[in-house]
Amino acid sequence: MSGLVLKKSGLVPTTKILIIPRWNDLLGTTFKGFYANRIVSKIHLDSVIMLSNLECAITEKTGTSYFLFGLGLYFLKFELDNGSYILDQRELNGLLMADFVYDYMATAKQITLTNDDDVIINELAIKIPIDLSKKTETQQTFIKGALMRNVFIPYKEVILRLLEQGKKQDSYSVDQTGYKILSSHPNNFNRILVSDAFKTVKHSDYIQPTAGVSNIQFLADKLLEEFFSSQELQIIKQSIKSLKGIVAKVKVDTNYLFSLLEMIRAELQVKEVIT
Amino acid sequence: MNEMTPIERAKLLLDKFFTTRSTTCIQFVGERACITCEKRDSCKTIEKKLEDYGNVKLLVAGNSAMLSISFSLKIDIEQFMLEKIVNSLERAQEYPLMKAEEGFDLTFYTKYGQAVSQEQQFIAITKILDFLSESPWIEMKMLINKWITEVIEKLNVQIRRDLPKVTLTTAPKVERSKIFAPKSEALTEPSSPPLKERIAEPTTTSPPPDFREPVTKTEPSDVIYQEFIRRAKIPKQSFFLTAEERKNEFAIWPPSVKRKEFGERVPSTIEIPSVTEATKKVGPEKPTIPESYIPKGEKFELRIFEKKPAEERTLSPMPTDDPFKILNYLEQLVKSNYEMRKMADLFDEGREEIEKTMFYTDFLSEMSKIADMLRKADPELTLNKFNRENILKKISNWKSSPIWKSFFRKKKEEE
Repeated sequence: MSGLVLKKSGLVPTTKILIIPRWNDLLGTTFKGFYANRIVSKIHLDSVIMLSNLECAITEKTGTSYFLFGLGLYFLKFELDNGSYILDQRELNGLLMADFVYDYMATAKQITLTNDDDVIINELAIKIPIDLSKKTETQQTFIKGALMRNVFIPYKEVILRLLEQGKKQDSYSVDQTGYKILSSHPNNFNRILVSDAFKTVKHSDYIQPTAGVSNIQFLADKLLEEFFSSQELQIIKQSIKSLKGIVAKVKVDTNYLFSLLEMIRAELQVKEVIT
Repeated sequence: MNEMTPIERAKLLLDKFFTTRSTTCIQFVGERACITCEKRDSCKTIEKKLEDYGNVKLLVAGNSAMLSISFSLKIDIEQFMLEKIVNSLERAQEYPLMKAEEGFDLTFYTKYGQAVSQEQQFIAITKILDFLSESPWIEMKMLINKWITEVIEKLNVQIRRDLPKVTLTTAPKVERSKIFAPKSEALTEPSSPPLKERIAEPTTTSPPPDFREPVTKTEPSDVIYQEFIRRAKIPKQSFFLTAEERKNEFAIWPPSVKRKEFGERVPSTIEIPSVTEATKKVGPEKPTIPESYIPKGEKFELRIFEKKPAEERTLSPMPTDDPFKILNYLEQLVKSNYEMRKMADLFDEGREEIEKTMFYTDFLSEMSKIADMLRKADPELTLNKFNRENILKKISNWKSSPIWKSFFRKKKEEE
C-alpha cells in the first residue's frame, strides 16, 4: 500500500442507492465532450446511479477521498452538433469522490425529508438506504411517498437501465474486465478510470469518448493498488459479484419501484442467513 | 454522541463565569482582583471555583473570574491569525479579555464592579465565541489564496514588461479547408488517441509515474468564494458512513479545479455557423491561387468565340436607293472577315439610308444596337463565329419581315 495514505477507514459495508441526477452540475464542469468524433452540443441528462455495498475513506496529504463500490451506471441523454439525439451509458463498479465534491454535495439544499438523516434527497444527490426496516410504519409510509414522488418517478429510466444492465449475463464481470471507476479526485477529475483489461480490442466500445466525462484512462488498477491490499481488492470483487448476483435475480415491479428496495433487502437477508 | 467542542463548553460555563461578587479584602488595601492575588489559595474570605476540562478552564475567585480556552488549531497560520485577533481585541479594552493564560489561546476576564456591565460583557463573549465557531479560517485562507494569486499576477506582469520587445510578424495564411475542418480539435480537451495507438502505446509509457496529474490552474471568482463560505457553515448531510469523521470540516473547492459560477448558464448549444454565415465571416473572396500553380498548357478557347484578325479589303459602295439591297449588302459584309469597327459605321450608314426611304420599319433599333456592339470591339478584329451567326440570323429575320410585301407592291406600282 502506498505511503501517501495518512489514514484509511477500512472497507465499511453499507448497502444503499446513490443517485447523482446531474454529474456535471455536481462537478460544475462546462465541458460537454465528444461522441463518435462529433461535438456534443447539449447534455439533457447525465445521471450517475450506484447500488453500493462497500465504502471506504482514504486520507492523503491532499485531502480525503471516498470510494464507493457496487453496481453503477453513468446514463446519458445528449445531442450532437448535427442534431442527432443520443442515449448512451457506461457501466461503473466504483465511484471515487474527493472531499471537496462530497462536502459540496452534502451541503446542497434539501428538497424533502429534511428531518431524516438516513434518506437524503437534496438538489445534487439522493441517498436511499436499502434497509428501512428500522423506521416506524408512519415514517416508512412518509418516506415511500417522498421517494415515489422525487426519485422513482423522475429517475425511473435510470433505475430501470441499471437493473437491465445488472441482468445482462456479461455485465459487471469484475474478474474479466476489472474496475470502472468514475472519479472526481482532483488529479483525475471527471474521468472514468478503467483497468488494463480494457486495452484489448474486445472492450473497445467502452473506452470510446462519451458526453460529460473528460476522458477514460487506464489507471484504475494502479490507483486501487496504491490504496488497497490484494486481500481488500478480493473483498471488493466479491462484494461486486454478490451484488450483481442479487440484481440479476430480483424481479421488480416497474410500476412500483419501491419494491426494488424490498426485494434487494430480502435477497440480502437470504444471503446473510446462508453465509 | 459527539464530544463537546471547547467553544460549546465555554458557552455552558458562562453562567458560572459571571458569579463574581463584591469582596472586602482584609490583607490588601484597594480593589485588587482576587484572581491575580498571590494569597488567593490561602485566603478564606473568598469563594473559589475551578473547572478544568483540559481545553477549557474556568476559575472564579471572589471578585474576579477567568475563562481560558484552547483551540486545537491545525496549522501555524491559523494559530498566528488567532493570536492576532486576540491581541487586537485585548487592545480595544472594551472587551473582557486579558493576556491568554499559559497553555491556552484565549482568556476571558471579568471583575465585579467594572465599568462595562456584565450584560455587555456576556454579549461580547458570546459574539466572539460565535465568530470563532463559524470557522473563520476558511475565509481567511481563501483571502490569502486570492492575495497570493494577485501577487503572482503582478509579478508576471512586471516580468513581462521587462522582457525585450518582440516584433510582430504577419500570421501565416491558413487554408480555407483548415478553418472549418478540425473544429472539434479546438475543443479536444481530452482528445484521446485512437484505440490502436492506445493499445500499442498504453499508459505504461506515457502517463506520469504517479496517477496524480496536474489540472489546469484557475482561480475561482468571488461569487464562488462567497458560496463556499456560506456552505461551510451549513451542517452536512450524511451520505457516507465513512464521512462522519469529517462532519465538522469543510473542504474548500481547490482553485486548481475549475468550476462554473453558481447560477451560470452554460449555453445549451454550441453555435455552429451555417455555411453562408461562415462564408461571410471568412469573406466572400475566394482564396487566390498563385499563378505558378496554374498548369500552363495551350490556351484554350471555344472555336465559336475565337478572335480572328480582320482582312484588309476594299468594299463596293453601299446601295442607297433600295433598303432590301442595303440589307443584302450588310449581310454580305457580315459574312466577310471585315473589321468590326468599320462594319459599325456601315451599319449606321445603312440604317440612315433605310430610314430615309421607308416610312415604317421594325428593325432599325436592332441595327443601331448591332452598330454599337461592333463599335466597342477591339480594333483590327473581325466577328467571331458566334456573333456572326447571331447577326446573320437577325438580318435574315429583318428580310423576312411582312413590311417588305407592301414595300415591293408600292415599288411595282411606281414603276
